[in-house]
Amino acid sequence: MNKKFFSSPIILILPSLLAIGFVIIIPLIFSFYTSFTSYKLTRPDSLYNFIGLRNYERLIDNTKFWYAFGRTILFLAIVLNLELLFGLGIALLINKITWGQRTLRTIMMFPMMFSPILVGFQWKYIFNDNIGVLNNFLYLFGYESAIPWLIDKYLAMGSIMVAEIWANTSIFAILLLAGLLGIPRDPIEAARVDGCNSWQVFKNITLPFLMPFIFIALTIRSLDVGRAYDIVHIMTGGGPAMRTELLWTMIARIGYKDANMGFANAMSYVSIILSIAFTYYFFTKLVAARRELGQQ
Amino acid sequence: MKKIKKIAFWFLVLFLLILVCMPGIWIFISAFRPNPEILAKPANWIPDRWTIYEFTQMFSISGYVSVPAFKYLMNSVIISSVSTVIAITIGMMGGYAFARYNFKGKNKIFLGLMLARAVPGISLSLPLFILFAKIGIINTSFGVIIVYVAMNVPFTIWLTDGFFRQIPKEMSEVARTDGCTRLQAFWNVELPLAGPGIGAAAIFAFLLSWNEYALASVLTRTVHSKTLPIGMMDYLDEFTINWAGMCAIAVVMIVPAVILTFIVQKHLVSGLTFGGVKG
Amino acid sequence: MANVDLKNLTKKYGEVIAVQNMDLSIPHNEFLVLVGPSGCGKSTTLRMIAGLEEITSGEIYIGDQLVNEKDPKDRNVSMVFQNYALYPHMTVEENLGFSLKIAKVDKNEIETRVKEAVQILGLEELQKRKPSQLSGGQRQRVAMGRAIVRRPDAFLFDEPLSNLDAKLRTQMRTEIKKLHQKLKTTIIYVTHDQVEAMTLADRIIIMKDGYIEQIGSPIEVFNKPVNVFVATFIGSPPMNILTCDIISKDQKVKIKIDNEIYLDCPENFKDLFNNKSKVYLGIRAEDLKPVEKNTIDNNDWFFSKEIDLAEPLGTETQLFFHLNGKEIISRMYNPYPVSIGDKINFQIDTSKIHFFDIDTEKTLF
Repeated sequence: MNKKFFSSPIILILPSLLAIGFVIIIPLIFSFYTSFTSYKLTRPDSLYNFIGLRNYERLIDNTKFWYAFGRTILFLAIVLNLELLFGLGIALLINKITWGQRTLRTIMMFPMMFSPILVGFQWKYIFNDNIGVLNNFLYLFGYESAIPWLIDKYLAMGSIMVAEIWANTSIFAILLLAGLLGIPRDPIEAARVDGCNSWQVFKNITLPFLMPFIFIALTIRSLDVGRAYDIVHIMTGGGPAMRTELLWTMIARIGYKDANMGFANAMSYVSIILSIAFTYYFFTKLVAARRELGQQ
Repeated sequence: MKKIKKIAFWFLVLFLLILVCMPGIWIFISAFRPNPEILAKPANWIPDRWTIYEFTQMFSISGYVSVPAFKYLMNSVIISSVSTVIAITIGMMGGYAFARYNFKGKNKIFLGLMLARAVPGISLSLPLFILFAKIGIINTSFGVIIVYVAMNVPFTIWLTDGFFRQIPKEMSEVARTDGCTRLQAFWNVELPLAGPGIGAAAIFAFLLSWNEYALASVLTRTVHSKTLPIGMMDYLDEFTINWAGMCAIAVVMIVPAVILTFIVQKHLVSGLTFGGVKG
Repeated sequence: MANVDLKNLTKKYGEVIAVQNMDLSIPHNEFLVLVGPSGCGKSTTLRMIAGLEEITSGEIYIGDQLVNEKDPKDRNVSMVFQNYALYPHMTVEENLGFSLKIAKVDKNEIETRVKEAVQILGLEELQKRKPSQLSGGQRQRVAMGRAIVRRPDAFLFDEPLSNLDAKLRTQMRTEIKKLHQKLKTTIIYVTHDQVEAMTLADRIIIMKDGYIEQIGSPIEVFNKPVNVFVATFIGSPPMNILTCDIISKDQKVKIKIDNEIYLDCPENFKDLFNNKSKVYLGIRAEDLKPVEKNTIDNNDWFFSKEIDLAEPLGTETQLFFHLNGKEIISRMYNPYPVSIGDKINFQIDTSKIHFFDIDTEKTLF
């Protein structure tokens, strides 16, 4: 009895489940509850002030929220696609190199080690209109008027995207390179003999083989999309005039600055569903791509 | 024609290298540059004078220190190490269970774990802040540690599951017919074989804790528990930024991360892809 | 020093039956080979004996002790795996001594027993090496050594030779046989290769779809297969099987083996063919003898047929032709040159032929 009990897989998983239950599930249940209250940090008794769906109704009526929501989706769509594209390009490039390939791969991992907050700071420093290295560099070429990268309403969003892409392209590059290195040579050579040009080889052989790796990268990446908060937080704080406000910075502002927890939690739920939907979507794609390649 | 292609190719590689490395190098240089020089216009690319002023400020033991970076560093080290050890221990158990056993709802539990990990830190921070304040573990290392354990466990399970799958099942079976219990077989055979991979998973967990901001910014309040990423914000007040100081603390943050990643990079990639592709 | 008994052993994976009601008694010191196509349940049986697979129902006894609930480690058996499963992080020596170390055997004792195994298997030069530095055959030997060192009640071999090339396989086969004679223990050996089974076994068990088809000595299963499956599984090339009509002609029972070729039914089968119109006829290739002249005595069968193909192999030539629309192989020893389309005379000793029921595929005696 004892022996069976201790060797059962559930016992092995239990500590993990407990940790996640305590730190993630219970708080989420709690915040789900508070999203139906008018809870404000400054007035603790408001925790029991049940207001039904009013927070969610306010959310639906709130244009600022919808702007932030739309901006977040747009931000993720642009950033993820570009990261994938650049990552694929870099992987193909490094795959071609025979000399110094491993060193280059290691260097490419450099941005992965940067804390998002550090990435934000680094690009804040680079994009600074006054002392930033970018404007200084342009100054060398006679471009003397300082460009307000983080202050201009359009440039600011672009600057944040640059930082985000710089930080996260390497995960795509590294994983796709691993995929490229693992592709068997035979089908590629067979396709060449069959008369495919390099684009056709890429499209018909390389890409299908790479598909699971693309989805691994996307799955891993989608786990951490929320970390963009750190970057935006330090670079612009959601400014100028909320032009770079994403869902996550808005949650932080309403929750902590305005101390309106109930409303912020309602918003949190939208962001959580967004993240989970992204992860779930890519994960199921990964499973499907795996099946297509005949791997179990 | 071929030659032009080749030159263009290497230019592209060089451009890429600059793009990847330059920002980091610039921070590094700025950390050793006197503050006035940072503000100089036009820019002074190579510092005239190298200084370690900001570092001595950070770590000075005598007298007044504006930013207690040494304390932050210690907090970071303790919180990241302890949470990593715990996360890797229980995550490894979970990974082993997923790799070696078949049980009901296995794939669903696995997916559930990954989805739990997908919850954005900032969204989770709101309820955690309230709950931790209520049970009195706000602004303690302990509170941050258990949060990091939970955040790291799903990914550790993914990685270690992949590493254990790479070890043939016969390895454990032969050990068991050789007279080992399942635990002995794990300890003597499977663990040593998965060692490098588990090391990689551990360092990955460590880096995640080391670099985390959103949750720590809410759960830590004072020098008792603030970690380096939070401490970095000390240099950033309402109107002025101490650029040199920030660059210096950035260097303190990034150096251990770079070293650790370079140690395990090979296993890290194989673990991520194996777990994913042959799940 | 133990016999192994299986009683009504059954293994199901959900609805799928892997092993069905298996009864088997393996006396001490027997070399038993389980053979069959993949998925027949032979490996599952072995793994149940080792304790690596849970039993759905039934009982397993090792040395008269019920071991159903025992862990693999407490069963005192040793297993050699197909892919050797050597511990890659240990040297040969450490691999060999590992089980004794786990059992907390005295150090000197470990040393002597490892030394003994090393000598038996000729591994003296390799003791300090890691498995990755060994060739396939050497790894195989270490895997066996690891089993020997434990002095188990029974050795379990799970397709141990299938990862080796043909030449090495033959060589290792002899070594395993010698080992058995030296060690005098029970060996249960699983393979899909019938040649291995024939050469090694004291007794062969032929399995299919979770059932035992036949148990017997190599000679028995070769000469007296109980059904079509065993007849075609054992022996290479497989036994020729053709569907024949049974016909009454000229007051005699005749068997039609091809257009216009009718052969007399042997006396001892006549009664069995009452009320039957069709039967499977089985003839081994070596019993279908090409002859130059008709030198038969009256019991033998004789016919001639044009051949489609001749494959000279040196010591023999294999002749291919068709009877009743089926391809038939004949082995010609002492070959003389033949070419495609030649009409060859064939002679069959009727005491060597097999008949199988057309519905049950069981042998008719």
